[in-house]
Amino acid sequence: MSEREDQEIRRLLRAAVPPVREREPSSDLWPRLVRRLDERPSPWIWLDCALAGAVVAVFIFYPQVVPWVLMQC
Amino acid sequence: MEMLQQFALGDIEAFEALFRRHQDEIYSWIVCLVRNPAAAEDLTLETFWRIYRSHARFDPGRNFVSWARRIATNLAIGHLHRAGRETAASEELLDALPGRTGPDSAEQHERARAIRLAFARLPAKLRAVATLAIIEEKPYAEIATALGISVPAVKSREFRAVRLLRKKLTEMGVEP
Repeated sequence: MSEREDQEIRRLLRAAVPPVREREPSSDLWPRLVRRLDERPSPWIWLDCALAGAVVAVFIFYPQVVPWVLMQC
Repeated sequence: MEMLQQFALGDIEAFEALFRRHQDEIYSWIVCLVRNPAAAEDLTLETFWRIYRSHARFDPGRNFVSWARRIATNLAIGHLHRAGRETAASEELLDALPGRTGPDSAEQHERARAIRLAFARLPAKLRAVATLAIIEEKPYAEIATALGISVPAVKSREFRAVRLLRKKLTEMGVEP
């Protein structure tokens, strides 16, 4: 395939999919962002809770590991 | 610089000032990539939400726009990847890719549609580079920074995109 054919593909692509003209959002996005910042809980909180729960479960079902864990601290 | 330092400390007013200064630029970059205004607005919000969450890791000596654009590009490529999978089944994305309107013949119209479909089926990373380099004619260096790759890597992806697009068109029975 030649460079000329590649250029033809580029030309056809530009003709079929023209550059975007509207380059500004339809409205000010700040109010939406503030709502999202206020509403969305951090996934780390859930991850922290899940990890803490897993550790407690291990201690309950395998109490023999508690002394070993304490020795590592 | 002072504003960036305040932002790095988590100051919401500094963040708002940065957002207002750069939201149009980031939106513009994203809409060029995803070519869907509603999706671009959502991705702009997601970009700045992630930026705010990462404020403590931001080095005020760095270029804020480059950092923001990198996050935006990664999110946009993720969106293209998901949209591409859906398009393979539904061709819905064709409606989101605006074509030129005018007194074209039916044959030209069909060919343009085939090109848009083949383009929508390119892998997201190749499509992103082809969009920015060929359609939007962004400088290679700018694309490289946004993608976190070298300029030769950008040129390589563009080359692969063109070759794959031609292959897909040939498979569809469209000769350029």
